[in-house]
Amino acid sequence: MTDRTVAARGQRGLSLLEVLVALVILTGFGAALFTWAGQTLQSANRAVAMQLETDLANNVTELATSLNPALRPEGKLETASHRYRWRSTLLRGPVDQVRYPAGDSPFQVMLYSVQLTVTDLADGNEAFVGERIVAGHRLARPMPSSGLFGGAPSAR
Amino acid sequence: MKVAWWYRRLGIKRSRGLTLLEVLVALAILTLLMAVLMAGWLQATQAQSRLTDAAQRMQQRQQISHLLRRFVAEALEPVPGSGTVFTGDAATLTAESTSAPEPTAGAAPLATRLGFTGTPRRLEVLAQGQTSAEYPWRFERAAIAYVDEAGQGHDQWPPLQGLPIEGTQPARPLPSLVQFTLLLAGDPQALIVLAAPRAAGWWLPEPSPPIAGLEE
Repeated sequence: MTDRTVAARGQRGLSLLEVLVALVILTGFGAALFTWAGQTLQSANRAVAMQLETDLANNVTELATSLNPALRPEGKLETASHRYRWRSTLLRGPVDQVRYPAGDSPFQVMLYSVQLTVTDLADGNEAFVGERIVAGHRLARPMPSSGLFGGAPSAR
Repeated sequence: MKVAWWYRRLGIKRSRGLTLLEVLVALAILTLLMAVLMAGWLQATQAQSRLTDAAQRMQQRQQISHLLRRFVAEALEPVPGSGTVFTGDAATLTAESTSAPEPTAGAAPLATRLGFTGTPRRLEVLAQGQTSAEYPWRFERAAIAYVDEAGQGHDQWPPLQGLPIEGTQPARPLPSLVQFTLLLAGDPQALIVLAAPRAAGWWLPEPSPPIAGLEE
């Protein structure tokens, strides 16, 4: 090949085919962006869903903490978005003579397994089903009216 | 000419160029491909900003729930005759706690009020009548409700009627559950925070870090 032929080819520039091939490769990147965006959206949605689940589980734990199954073994609570229902079964007890600051405790304590079900009011689906172990107490003897802790509110 | 000869030999007509139709077709294809590329780019940017928003909202929700639960959990059980209080209505909640929102020396009970004020609602915590912490959150709606041991809901605490409850003699001066219903500005989903007071035994103080120090 002579220098002239090289020069002649150099002036030819890019053929349409070459440009198109380059563009197709470029579009491949566009498609990759789509996939990436889709994955980002998916992970965002999953994160939000998990956060809502965690919120709900925390609320369930707080509700379980507030319960005294010895007095109310089952019941329900309705919030703006969910309905909480619980049922409890006795695991241990009742136990007498528990530690008390002054003398015998007037309370009996027991341990319950509390089954909680949370229904989403918007779509009627069960948003949470789970168990929490909760201590219950019951006044078994009259409260001492005197003494260091006489008349003090109940120990939970 | 030598160049012309080469062109002839390669079978290329030298001065043909591209027809208008060819150029138009090429442009159409080019536009199509560019459109796909730009759409992908736009989608990616949108997804990214949505992810950022969601992360921010999640963080806010977490911080708010944490703060409210801590406030309620650390409230002291009012012992008759001690002057300790736990009172509240739909917008405010006053309780005494040994853990102040700001670091203080000692563990003396401190009356602290948590309230939602203004429009849009802002969360405000006042210790001894003085603003001790302000928070950046804005709420479209904020309401506090109280649930007693019998599962009965009340708008204020102590309730006007309904206490004492059978079997829990003497009636507990604390609600068994405090329910916050909040709607953060710009958040489509209401935030519901249940918080249970941990009653009794406040003469056995438990050390805990202060509530303040939350940053957005």
